[in-house]
Amino acid sequence: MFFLNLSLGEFLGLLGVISGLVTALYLLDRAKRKKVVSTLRFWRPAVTADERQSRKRMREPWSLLLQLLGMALLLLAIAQLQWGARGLRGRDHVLLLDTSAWSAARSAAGTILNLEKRAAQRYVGTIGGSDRVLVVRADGLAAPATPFTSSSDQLTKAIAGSTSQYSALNLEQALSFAQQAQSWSGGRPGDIVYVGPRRIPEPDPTLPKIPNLRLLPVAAPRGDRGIRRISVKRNEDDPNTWQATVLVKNYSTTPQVIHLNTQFAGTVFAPRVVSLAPGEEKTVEYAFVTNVAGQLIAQIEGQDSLASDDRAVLRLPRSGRLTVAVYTARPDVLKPLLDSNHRLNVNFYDPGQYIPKPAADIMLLDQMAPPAPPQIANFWIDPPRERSPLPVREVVKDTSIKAWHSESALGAGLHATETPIPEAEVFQIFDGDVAVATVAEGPVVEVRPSAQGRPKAAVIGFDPLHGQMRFEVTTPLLFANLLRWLAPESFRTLEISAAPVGTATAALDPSERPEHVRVTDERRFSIPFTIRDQTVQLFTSRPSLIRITSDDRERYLSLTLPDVAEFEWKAPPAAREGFPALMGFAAPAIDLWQWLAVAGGLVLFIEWMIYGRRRIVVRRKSAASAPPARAHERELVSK
Amino acid sequence: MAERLIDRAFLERLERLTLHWKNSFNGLVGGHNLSHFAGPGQEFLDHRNFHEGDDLRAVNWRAYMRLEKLFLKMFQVEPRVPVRLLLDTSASMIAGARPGEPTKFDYARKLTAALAYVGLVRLDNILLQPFSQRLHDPYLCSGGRHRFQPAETFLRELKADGKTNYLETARQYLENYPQKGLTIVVSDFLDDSDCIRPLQYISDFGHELLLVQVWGGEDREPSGKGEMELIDAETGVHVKIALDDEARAAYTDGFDGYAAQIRKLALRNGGRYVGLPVSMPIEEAIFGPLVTGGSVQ
Repeated sequence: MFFLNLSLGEFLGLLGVISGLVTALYLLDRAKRKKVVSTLRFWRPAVTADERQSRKRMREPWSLLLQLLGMALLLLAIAQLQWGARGLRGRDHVLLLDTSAWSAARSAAGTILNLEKRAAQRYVGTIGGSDRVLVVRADGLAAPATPFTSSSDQLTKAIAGSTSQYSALNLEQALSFAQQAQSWSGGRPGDIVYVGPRRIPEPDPTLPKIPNLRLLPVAAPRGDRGIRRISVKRNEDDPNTWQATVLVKNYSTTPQVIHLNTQFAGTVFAPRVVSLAPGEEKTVEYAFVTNVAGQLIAQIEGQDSLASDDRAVLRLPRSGRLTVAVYTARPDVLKPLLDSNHRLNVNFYDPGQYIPKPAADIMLLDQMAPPAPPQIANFWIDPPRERSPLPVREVVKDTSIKAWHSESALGAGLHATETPIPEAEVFQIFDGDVAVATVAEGPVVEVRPSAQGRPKAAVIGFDPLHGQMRFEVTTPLLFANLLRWLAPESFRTLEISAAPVGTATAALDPSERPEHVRVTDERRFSIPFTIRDQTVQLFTSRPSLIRITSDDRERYLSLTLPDVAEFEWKAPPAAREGFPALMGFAAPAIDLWQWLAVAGGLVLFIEWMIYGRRRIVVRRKSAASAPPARAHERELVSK
Repeated sequence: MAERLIDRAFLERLERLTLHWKNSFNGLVGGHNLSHFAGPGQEFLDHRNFHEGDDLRAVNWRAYMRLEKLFLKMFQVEPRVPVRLLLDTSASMIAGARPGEPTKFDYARKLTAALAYVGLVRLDNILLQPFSQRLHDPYLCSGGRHRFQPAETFLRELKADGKTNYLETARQYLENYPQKGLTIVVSDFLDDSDCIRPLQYISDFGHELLLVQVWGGEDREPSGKGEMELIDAETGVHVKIALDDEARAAYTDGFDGYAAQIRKLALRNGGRYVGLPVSMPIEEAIFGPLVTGGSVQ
């Protein structure tokens, strides 16, 4: 006889607590309570009657005993008391089916995963009829595919439905999960069976000690080489120039010569031949110029055992230049300033050619007031006072900038003060508006965020290209800051890379603020991430296109390459290997919990019938026999 | 500023009421109760023959001119009947209230204040007489509603303490107040010794009794169940009992029987009895049982 759910100590502890509680409640119910009354004269006749009742109550310890017995029986039911020897009870096995990237490798006998499935199926056939098995698909995560079950149909279906994943095997997590599952099952622990090629990403993982570990190894082919990473970065100086890097590795034990073919948008680059020693990895770099969107494909020629890491694809966006429509009567003055910024594609128009929505990202309005408000982000220089997009409070003459609001990115790098300004418009400021520069009378450079369909607007209340200001470095910096604020996407540095599924990292620049980092997948769902030491860390268990954005940077992680584990796991010597002998059928222990639960409920019901119900009957009888007290009270009052 | 026992709105309602009593007291009557006795007054009662020494101002000179005989006009007397309010201030008055209910003492003080105000408005002489083991210092007020404020202050400053001793109280009462009048006793009448006989003595000496019994919810229908230790609020005596529904019913029977005895005593002696649970609002008590019972009208 043994408990399935609780140890003897746990059972006795719980029984002690419950018994103590019931006894305390019993004694509390019968404890004398003190009560101050106005007089004792009416109690004396009642006391005589109650003493008899009190003596009767002294015999009610049977009520307590029955309650304790009922509770004990219910607790035995919860503890799942079983009749028979524990050894005769079936065991609970955990079958770890390796579905990591290596399981997709192909050998002469078929894919590794198919070999694993056959081995797992054979193992399930060897276990006893009363044994239960939990199938766990183990890759980067350990995911149970079944509960503990002895149903061969359910097990077969779970094994057959397993597919290869892209992540590497996290063996430590899988074994820990298996141990926990066995301890929680409440049954007699059986084997923890690992079925797979024993390929792990780290040479010496810290694994829990498992005495009941059994290995069903599946031989994995050794001749693999593949692409570990491919990344593309846009040149800082020229947005149409891209630098691509492909990292290839030789996983086999023999030297390999790789023929790497790369193409972009149908244009094939010159193939590269890379010689790799066993275990060696090399980087291959490409530089190309394009302003169109397209796919960058890197592919290793020939076949090896693992095909999924022989090809990597990246999708590149079109040119990142910002188009600016400039409406000005003095293009010769503005042209040197705007053309110096290589990220801008500037088109000059006469003010008479104004349209509210030109084919551009930003509109610059130089000393003019358009007949209709702009419908794209707009940048104003010294607008006429009457038609200014921001209300002008006053016009001041012979002034100078007193402060640049450098606490935001808008004022970054702007420090020059005391530069004389012949005339400046001082704007009113409203909720949401941001002052960039102020003179003594108020803001003279101000931005207004987009709201209610109104596009972003930046306004300079003086002519920075007139007077001393045109010789200051402040002027191009101010233009750059305002243009960056108006179209931040266009100024982001773009990085795109393809990497293995699983844990991914991306280093942040020191200028990037962690609180501005956002990580989303291809469906624009947020992905959980952490930032440690200016590095974004995230995890995906399936191929995903991850987008990491921050202040002025945008990265794409194409986590579509398989995470190929490089090392072979050397199992502990105590681990058994191979299939067990066919286990015979033993008479299972008898489960008693249903009977115990019924008995416990019955005892509590009997106690209630004898004591609880009788008390209710007595109360009803006394209520029926006693004259209605309220009626008497009314009688006393009314007379 | 201490909280008032009665608010102004209630006082305004009380101004319509008058204290009433059944008996006529020889030589004494309140302004609102007719007397069968002759004496100095405004209302004509009868004629009698003139005797030497009679007041010539009461001679009916018209009758003398017609009949040449001296007849004296007699009038109804209109002296003030003393109204004495005996307020129980024993410790039992602060026991027996259920949660949310006022104590009997608070309830009795408010009721006493209301009755005193009714009397003052009608220019009755009101004596507020607290008692427990004996009579405590009284407070006499008369002369109209403006004398109510000190009376209320007196009531507010009373404290409930000590045992009840009706026998000693009655003895002192009869000794101190030989002049008959209306005696209103506001009490729970829960004295371990007998209160029937002392009250009978007071009545026997010609005082008209208006017995107002107040009780808390616990006084009449005690709550709780199981083993209990009961402590008498006045004597501190402990009694251990096992309380159940039967015992509770027996207790309530005992209480009701006792209240019936007090009521019987009042009615037998030409007085009145009113029983008031503290759960009944004071306003309802005044305009309900006290008005319908004829104690105030």
